Amino acid sequence: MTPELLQALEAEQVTKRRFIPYPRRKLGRGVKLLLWVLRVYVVLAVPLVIYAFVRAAMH
Amino acid sequence: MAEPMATLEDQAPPREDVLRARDRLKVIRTRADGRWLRLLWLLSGPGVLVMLGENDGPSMLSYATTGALYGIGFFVPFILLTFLMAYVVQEMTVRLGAATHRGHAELIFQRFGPFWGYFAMADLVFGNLLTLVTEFIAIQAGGLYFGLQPAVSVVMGVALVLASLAMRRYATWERTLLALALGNLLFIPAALLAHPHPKAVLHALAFWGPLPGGFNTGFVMLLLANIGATVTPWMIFFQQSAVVDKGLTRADVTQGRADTAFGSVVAAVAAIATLLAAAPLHAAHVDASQFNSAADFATALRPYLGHAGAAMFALGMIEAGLVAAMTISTSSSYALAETISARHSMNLDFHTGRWFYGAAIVSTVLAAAIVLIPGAPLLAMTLAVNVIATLLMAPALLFLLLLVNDREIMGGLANGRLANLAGGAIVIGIAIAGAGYGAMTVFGP
Repeated sequence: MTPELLQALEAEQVTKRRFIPYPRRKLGRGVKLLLWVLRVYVVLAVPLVIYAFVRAAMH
Repeated sequence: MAEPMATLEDQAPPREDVLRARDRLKVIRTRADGRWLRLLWLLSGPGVLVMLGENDGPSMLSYATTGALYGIGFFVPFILLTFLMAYVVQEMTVRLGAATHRGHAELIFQRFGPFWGYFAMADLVFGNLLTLVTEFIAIQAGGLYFGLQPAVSVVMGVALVLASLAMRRYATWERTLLALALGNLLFIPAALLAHPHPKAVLHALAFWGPLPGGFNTGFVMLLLANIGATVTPWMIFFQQSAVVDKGLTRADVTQGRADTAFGSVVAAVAAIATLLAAAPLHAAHVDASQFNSAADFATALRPYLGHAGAAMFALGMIEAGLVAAMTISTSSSYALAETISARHSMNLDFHTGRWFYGAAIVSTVLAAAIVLIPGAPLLAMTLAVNVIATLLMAPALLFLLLLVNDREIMGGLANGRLANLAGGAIVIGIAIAGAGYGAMTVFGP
């Protein structure tokens, strides 16, 4: 019963196949630039979050 | 952690695969029989759940505040617009899940590397923990209206969230949550008891007005808060993982889209109903700007909606917090387990899914415990939730767009030019609004 039942799944849906990772994406210049902008954004955003929390906690 | 491949191959088919295969068999047979309504029913769930899950405690409070401060006017069509934006964003997660059979966190990890993978997971899990705190605040506040001690409401909330995790079957879990999420519709009878004038609603929809007080800082804050109440990072992670767990394939994308569209409409109606239910406070010039909880609103609305209406409002708030706690804790589970390559599915038994279930259990219990700590800075946490969610929306949306344009993994389901134009414009708009909201919350008065 089980082997026939499992045919209802696509090959990529089977657990052992789902754990085979996709390869890293080859990034073009545009995407690389975007990710660097994102890094800068994150560096700016994290202190903002901490500041917002501390300021609210103190009031 | 991930089980070695050799071990997996030696084992009998995992419980997860067998249960998902049973669900898929029903779908295949129903499709072959041409029973389209039944097919839609079988494939629906993630879209409705994510949209009603986002109608959470803080969001419903935000809609009620909007109704109390601005009445029936500009915000009625604006809420519709925000749910249209939510549909465009969430539809992309349906395609990603169906095309790749991978969750959002694992796709970021695999395609962009560990740095972005761990970053996306960590900010989501931390943001979700704080959001869970606000959901338990909503449950507690709703309970207060019914005279329940805070500890009783919170412990009952935790018990229900843990009970939902105990089902160990995706389909049962999903249908149970859908039934619970129907409680979101309690705001509709509450709105009807407020006797909103149909002409006023139609006028607001047609002319995007009136807008009492005009364009000012408070209006912009509420505008951005309403956007933040509709599109948030956890939704992206949750729906994609739920689509994968449910087993949707490329053939099911149409039904996945319909599910998401239906969820958007139902959630928009519930959100507008909340606004309408609170609108009598605007007409009566009640100052609701200092209201902090569902109990405050329900008590203030009692003279206008009656006991039944106010009780439905408070009960709706409890339901909103409860369903959101269930979906948000699950989104943390998916993200954490996907990132560390642990097994992740609502179909797992507890031993195999210990990381998956553990993340939801720990985050739920921790959030509930924080709410019950005397003197805990709950207001600061609520504020931090808004700031974190809005500031981190930009990275989440950027990765979503990058992934949905990745033709190596998406094939024919990748975004076309039109989808990129619409999606890109919405992503840029939401990112700017989010950053603006974050900055105004941090630097504002």
